[in-house]
Amino acid sequence: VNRLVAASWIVVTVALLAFCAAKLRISTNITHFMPDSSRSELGAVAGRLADSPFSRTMVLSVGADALPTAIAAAGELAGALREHPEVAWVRSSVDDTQLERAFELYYPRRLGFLSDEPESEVPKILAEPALRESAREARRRLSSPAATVFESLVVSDPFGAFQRIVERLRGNEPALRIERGQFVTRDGRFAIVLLGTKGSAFDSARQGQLLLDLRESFDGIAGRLGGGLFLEQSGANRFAVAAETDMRSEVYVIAACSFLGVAALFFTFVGSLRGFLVVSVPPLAGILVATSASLALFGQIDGLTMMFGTSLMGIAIDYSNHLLLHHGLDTSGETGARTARRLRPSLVLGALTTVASFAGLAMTAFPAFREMSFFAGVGVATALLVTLTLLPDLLGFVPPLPARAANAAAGLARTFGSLDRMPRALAMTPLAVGLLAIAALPGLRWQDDMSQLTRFDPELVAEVERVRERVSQPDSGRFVIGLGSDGSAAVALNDRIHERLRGVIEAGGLEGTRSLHTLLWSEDLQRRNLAAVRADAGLYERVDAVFAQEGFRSGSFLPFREALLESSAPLTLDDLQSSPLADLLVPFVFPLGEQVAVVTYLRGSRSPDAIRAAIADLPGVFLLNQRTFVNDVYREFRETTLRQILVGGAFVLGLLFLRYRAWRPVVASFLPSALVAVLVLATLSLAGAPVNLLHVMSLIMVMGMGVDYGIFLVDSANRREDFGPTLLSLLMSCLTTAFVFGTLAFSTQPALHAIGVTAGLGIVLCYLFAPVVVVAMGLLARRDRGGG
Amino acid sequence: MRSRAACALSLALGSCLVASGIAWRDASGSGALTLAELMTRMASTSGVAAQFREVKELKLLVAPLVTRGTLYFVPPDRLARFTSEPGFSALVIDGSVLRYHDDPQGEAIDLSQSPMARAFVENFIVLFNGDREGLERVYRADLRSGEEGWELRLTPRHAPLDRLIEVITMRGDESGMREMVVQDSDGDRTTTTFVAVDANRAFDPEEIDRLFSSGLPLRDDGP
Repeated sequence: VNRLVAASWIVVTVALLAFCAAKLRISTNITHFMPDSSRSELGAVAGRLADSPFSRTMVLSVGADALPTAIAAAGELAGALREHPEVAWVRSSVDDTQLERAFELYYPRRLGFLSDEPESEVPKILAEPALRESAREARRRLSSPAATVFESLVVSDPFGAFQRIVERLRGNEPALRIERGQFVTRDGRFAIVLLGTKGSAFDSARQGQLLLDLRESFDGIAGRLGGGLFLEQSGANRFAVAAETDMRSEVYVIAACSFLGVAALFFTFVGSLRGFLVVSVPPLAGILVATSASLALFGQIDGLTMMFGTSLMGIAIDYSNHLLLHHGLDTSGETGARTARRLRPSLVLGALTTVASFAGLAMTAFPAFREMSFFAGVGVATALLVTLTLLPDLLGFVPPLPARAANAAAGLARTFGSLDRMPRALAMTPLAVGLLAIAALPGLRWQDDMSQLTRFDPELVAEVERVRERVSQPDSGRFVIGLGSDGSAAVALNDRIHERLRGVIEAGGLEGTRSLHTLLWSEDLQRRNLAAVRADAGLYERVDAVFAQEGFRSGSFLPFREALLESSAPLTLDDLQSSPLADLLVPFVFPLGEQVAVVTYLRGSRSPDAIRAAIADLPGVFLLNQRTFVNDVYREFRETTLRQILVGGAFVLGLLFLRYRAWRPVVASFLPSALVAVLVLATLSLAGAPVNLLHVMSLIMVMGMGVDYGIFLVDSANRREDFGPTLLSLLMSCLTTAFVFGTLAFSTQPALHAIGVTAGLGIVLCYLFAPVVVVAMGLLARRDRGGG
Repeated sequence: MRSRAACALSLALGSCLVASGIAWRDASGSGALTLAELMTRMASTSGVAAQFREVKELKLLVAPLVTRGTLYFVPPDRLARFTSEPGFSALVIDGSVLRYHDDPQGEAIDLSQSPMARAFVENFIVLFNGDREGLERVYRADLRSGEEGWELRLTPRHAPLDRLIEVITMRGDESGMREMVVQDSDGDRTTTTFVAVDANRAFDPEEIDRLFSSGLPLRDDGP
């Protein structure tokens, strides 16, 4: 290799690596997979909620033979966890500071929090019968042991406005009570500790370490205290870690099998590690350039885009492999550069058809698809360029191929060349596949519930559910979202959401909610309450009279008269956010771009339609079922992908016509991939296996390779000595793909299984169909049929 | 606010505390009872059950509030006070745990973590363990006795008790304590009289569980 050229390649490579290292930012923004702006807005909220404090909360349930033992262990565990670097907060009881501050914030403003409908309800609260009931309740409380504190409050709050606030706040708490300063379940069987993590629940590396440390701490405590202690936990991070652990352990085994398979393959037909390294250069260069270009253009790369884009780059290894085998099996002493020139039309067409098949994706409304298309296009083009320019020089480093490679090529050429003895039978193949498709495809079942793509240990699922039930957590993934232009608007909107949902609860469509409304009402609603109280001109005199009739000393309620005249400013979002109660707001209200989002968590949602109808006329308010929302998006994603396979197919056909200008080679090049797509889907249908997005994405990869197989075989059918090497290079490509992706079919994880089945079955069918179709179309018959 | 609530509960506990020590008898027969003797006898009882009538004179109300109920003490550190009139309430000390509830089916509020309530429970335990020095760290104790009986005045030494309670006065005779008066700093006064005292009540495990785990009075007392 010319030293200057080599130095240039090295400089460019190092520069690109440095650029990627400096700029690489992989995002996991769900909005990349949203098809239009309105869905994107909702998607942004869904994404935020998926990583909200709610999803970062863990519930730890400690059980023992006796509750005091569980309480002691929970207390120790909470203490240990407070020191953990990944733990943001730990709550094992009610914080006295928060209660004190709540009193200071709410008590002066208690008259602003009387009713959601002050104009109609406040007069009832202030009417004589209600006041008389308040007086009797006050007497009852004065006889209780807590009389002293109540005595000081009742004179300024005779009808219990503050008590209403306290009851609302209690209603928002988990279904727990406090025993010996520790949260315990209402049935008194388990001690409960709540904790929030600093990192995302889906950051499995950090969460995995936390879960390990947590288990270790608890085991240490249980060992010391004994008493039959056991720990159960609930949290989204448990699923994330379990999924990652299961997949990783399987992927390690599968990767080891793949590596051994690919290594054995290269050892058999190439006979050297250097050969493997050389053919890896173009796809690696393609990934590097595509990553750099994507970062330069988009500023960041979506994680899934990079994953799919990189796997699609697996196609690019076929180009270098094709060149390596043709050069290695050439007996005429041809140089690498000359072999490359000879194969250039096939390689360029193969690359162009691959790029064309992705071009359909570039025209969709999904930003992720556009990025994916760009990534794969740039990557394939780069791999082709490197294959045609750098690789011929690198072929000099590869030792001669072993004799078994030539023998295998000759054997393959003989085997497939002999097929032309039965041209009619071969011609029946597409027909048979077509008939099979007609019979099987109507029964195809689409699976868009992405939660089904990960299989969890049933014991883990049951444990999480048990713990959730103990603390009556809201339904996971069901929310009503409101978007306001600022904090005040969001709180006002939340008032209206609360009012509508209260109607649904009363009608039985919903069990309950957790809402910002228990903590904060809009300034307008607070003022309306205060106005409704002050509108009652004779209120103080009536209170004094009614309470006197119930045995209270007249004139005792002067502090109440003063409270009526006081003008405390309404409680605002800013007041709460700058108080020790700010933590309580975090799950309910957060900024979202230029807007502020308010979230109501739903519990026991029995009638989503009723909820949707109740909020239908509220602007900027949505019912979000995270699971169905994501499933809807994936369905659209999958349907778009299927449509774009057809669009991409049309582009590919156009390119093939431009190149061959005859129908036989066009059909011979294209038909194998089309047959494979149909046959894979028909097989899945006949097997009763539901088809999901990952099957479809894998099919794109397989079809791209299928078209390449067709082109390489059609082109090599023109030269008798090329047919065998082409069949061998395609066999290596097929087996490499089968080893790398096909082994995933043995995974117990449905997601990996889907990729494995499609890629494994598809690529083997591609390899079988491509020569069959070439022979069936009579392309080989017009040449020397003996091949190599 | 929570500490104020706990403080109020502590006042009520004051009556429990003292009433649980009602069973005493001057061993010497001289009538000259010492604080040490009184406390030793408090600590040595096998158990106490008594009915009480409490009269609260509040400046907020024209007429006093009358409460009736039952009180149980199981040495060394368990005490339960239940009211039956005008309504149900339960105040339970079980070791270091202090709980209160006013609905037989409702949930108890645990006040054990309140610094005020904890301090009071600790004082209660100290008293029944016969820790005279400990008691005198919290209250200035003044015991007088004579032919008619005895009178123990406890004056809180430190905040926050001294802000709420002016003095606690207990009166009794050789048959036991008969009356306790809590004079609040704000002028309110609570007078508790004890009747049907069983100073050597033995409690079986089922009764103890009902009183201190379920927080319910014994069946013949009903809520």
